[in-house]
Amino acid sequence: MHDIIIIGAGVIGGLIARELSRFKLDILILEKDNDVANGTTAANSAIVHSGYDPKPGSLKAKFNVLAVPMYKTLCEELDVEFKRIGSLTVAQSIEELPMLKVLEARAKENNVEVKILSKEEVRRLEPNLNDHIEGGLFAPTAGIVNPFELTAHAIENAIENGVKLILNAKVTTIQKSHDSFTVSTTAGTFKSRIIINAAGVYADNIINMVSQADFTITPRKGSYFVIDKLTTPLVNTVVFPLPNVHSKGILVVPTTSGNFLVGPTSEEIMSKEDVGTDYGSLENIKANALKLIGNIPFHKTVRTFSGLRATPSTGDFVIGHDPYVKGLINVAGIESPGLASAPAIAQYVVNDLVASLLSLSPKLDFNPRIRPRVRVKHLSIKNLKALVKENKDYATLVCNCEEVTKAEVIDLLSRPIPIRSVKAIKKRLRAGFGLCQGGFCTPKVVEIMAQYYGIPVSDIAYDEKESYVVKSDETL
Amino acid sequence: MKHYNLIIIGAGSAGIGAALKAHQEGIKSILIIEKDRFVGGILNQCIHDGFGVHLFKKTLTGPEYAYYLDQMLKERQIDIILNSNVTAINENKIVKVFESGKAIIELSADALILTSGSYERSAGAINLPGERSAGIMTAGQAQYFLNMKGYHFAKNVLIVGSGDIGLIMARRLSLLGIKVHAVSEIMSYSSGLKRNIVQCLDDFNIPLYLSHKVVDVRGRPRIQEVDIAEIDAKGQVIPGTLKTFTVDTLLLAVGLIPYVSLAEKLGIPLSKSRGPWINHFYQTSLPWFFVAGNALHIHDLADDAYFEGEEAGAAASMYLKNLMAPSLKKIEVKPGAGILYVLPNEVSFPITYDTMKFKFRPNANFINKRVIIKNGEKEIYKKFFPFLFPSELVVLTVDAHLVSDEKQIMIEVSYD
Repeated sequence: MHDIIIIGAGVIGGLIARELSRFKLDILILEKDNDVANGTTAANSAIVHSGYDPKPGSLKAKFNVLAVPMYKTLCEELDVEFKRIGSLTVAQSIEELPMLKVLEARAKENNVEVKILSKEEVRRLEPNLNDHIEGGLFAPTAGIVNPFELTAHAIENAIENGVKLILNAKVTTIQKSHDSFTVSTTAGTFKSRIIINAAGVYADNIINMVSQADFTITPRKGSYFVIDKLTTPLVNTVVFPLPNVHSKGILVVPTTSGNFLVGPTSEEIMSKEDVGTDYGSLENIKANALKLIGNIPFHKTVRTFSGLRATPSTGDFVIGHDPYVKGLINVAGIESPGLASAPAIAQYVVNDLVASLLSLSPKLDFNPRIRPRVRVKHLSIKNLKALVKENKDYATLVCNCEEVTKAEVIDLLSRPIPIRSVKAIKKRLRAGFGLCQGGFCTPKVVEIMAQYYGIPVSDIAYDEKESYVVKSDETL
Repeated sequence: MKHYNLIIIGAGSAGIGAALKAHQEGIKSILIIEKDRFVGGILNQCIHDGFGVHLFKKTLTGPEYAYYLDQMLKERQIDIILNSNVTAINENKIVKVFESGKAIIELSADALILTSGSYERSAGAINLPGERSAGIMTAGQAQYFLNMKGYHFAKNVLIVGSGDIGLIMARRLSLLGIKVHAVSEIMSYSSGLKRNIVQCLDDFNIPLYLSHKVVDVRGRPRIQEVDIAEIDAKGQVIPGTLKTFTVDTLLLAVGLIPYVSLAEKLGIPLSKSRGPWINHFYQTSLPWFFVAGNALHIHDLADDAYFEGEEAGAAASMYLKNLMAPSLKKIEVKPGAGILYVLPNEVSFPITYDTMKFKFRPNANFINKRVIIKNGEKEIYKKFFPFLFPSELVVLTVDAHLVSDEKQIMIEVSYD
């Protein structure tokens, strides 16, 4: 019997697990996919919003504003790429200028620092913006973060502090008895006293297995372009148009790894699995983004992708005890600004919700840090040479585009989260994230994995379970 | 730190051509750095024949061609380090090298030739719609798995792109008993050689769908179905033309792009060929930094890359021997109507060569057209072409004394 089962290893489940691992508890994370950070967490704008935009008084406003100052320490402890670069919301005509005042007033209500910039100040900050941009609202506390790292490192840290993780464990049924839950999954049956439902787009389905959801979650698809690293940056800050009722619009944002994201669209869809892209959405992004910046080098696109926002029918995050079933804690409807709010949500879930059900006794040996990763790309040649003396694999380049070495791949494989796919490596090390998109490095990654685990290359998945890259049972 | 007169990055045909020429010109210390474990680069995975007609006067397979290159190199005792990746070049001409499993080293040079080849356009680069499941791979990756490793990966394949690489992979897969359902081509024509269409598609009854694009990819964990549809001249899908293929692999042979991040990191500007901007000495904006082969623009033949490497090697030797006349004036060479790109991008004066070569690709198929080179308003060259195809590079040789430094040079397909 576990104290707590967390369903879902996205950024919400991951940060909650890490927060819970500070206490003497038996915790199990169940994840339906074969890697953590694989749903909404893996496909979003990767922005830590300042928090000026959500409706004052909403949970979105509350947690976003609370979480922003937490990011610095959190990312230091967990060795996560994070840059506070600020965001700029721009008025695209004189007519739009008064809206900036409205947003400024909202920011004041939410207690978020912002500043209205003149046309010239905007131009100085973002020289690539089109001439018709008349002004902007700058929010200095906004930032960008690497959501794969944040989640994977939080879960790695949680595991090192005693949490268990089971991958490929899709929940099929949940039964509640007097004081415990029985959770059946594709990887076995588990029992716990508390369930924390962090199942993303499936959170309503999870509730309906054991209780009754008073709301629904509609997947809302957002597609993006990923533009290659450029010699002069396309933008320096997170650049938004004015927000509308549905979304924050098509934005242009640098990533912590030096790429640029352009997107997302916002399209309500039926399937919670449909992350395909289509030409229409991509054309729509292009048309809108070019209104902000006329010279976006779309010919330098390295990838396009879609993610699903978990949009709740309530319009706000649904965070709290289930109204009908004691012991079930729902953390649902975490759409934007979900990533930005996640650290504060995790603290609230643990310190308020879980604490009201269990007594929390701190672990004296809790270690808030993970073993920092060696990032060869950012090392000085002197430090790199010293490392190579210890381990020759640091001189073996696996991915040219992103400068990833064999030693880094092997280090990753030796860490506590099982690495089951080529994509799991790509998400963490960026091998395959560059110009050639894995054209050159995929075969090498497959071979290193096979050798490390002592299994045939044909057992190495590209992404999901059984999504094999090659089939050597039919070797020539 | 070890020092060389000339460092060449990449031991494909352009790199070897450059090294042999520089050696012949008397350059003393030359080093070639190659990331793979053998000379020849991508030639090693191209096991079909048809290479070497111009250079070796016989048709060879890629690995045979690579062997010949290696032999020529060995006869001249030119230094080469294999299994080594260059990750940076700085403005002091210091090259950072990862020697696989050995060491990180820094080397310095007086001049450098980038012959780093190309990479394949990916699914992302062509905005491929649908799922991102296993089973979508580039032709080169497939070639590597099959020809270098002996790994099978497919039973039913749809190929996108009917250039020579797509066509040759269609034959290669068919010979292995893999069913190639079709080749889909977005253009209204194949950019492959006619003989490849006959030998690689017709002989195996593989249909070629021209003016078709992929509109959806479905299936997880591996792809199961791919939809293609016919498009009109504006690229819009024509209703009622959808064709669905039940395949486990989608092979992308949708073009090569010069792999020049090392030059870009140094701030060297690029041109329309997507390689570095060059003058007629294959010299980039940095006088000591030369470029040739697929790193400059995509070649139709390995031989052409070799010869271009030789030209860059000769120019780099002139530079190293201080025989290159200082550039007093430059004029730009512009691609005009009907031209996709032209090289060089500029001409430096005074010109010391007797003739000047212009290499270009047209941006569409043309029949019975003249190609004109203008120097300012003045026509300095014209030639009639019964056919012009984007898939065939054209080289024009012009008397150097006709070129004046007064105005820009423009090359165009004449429409009258």
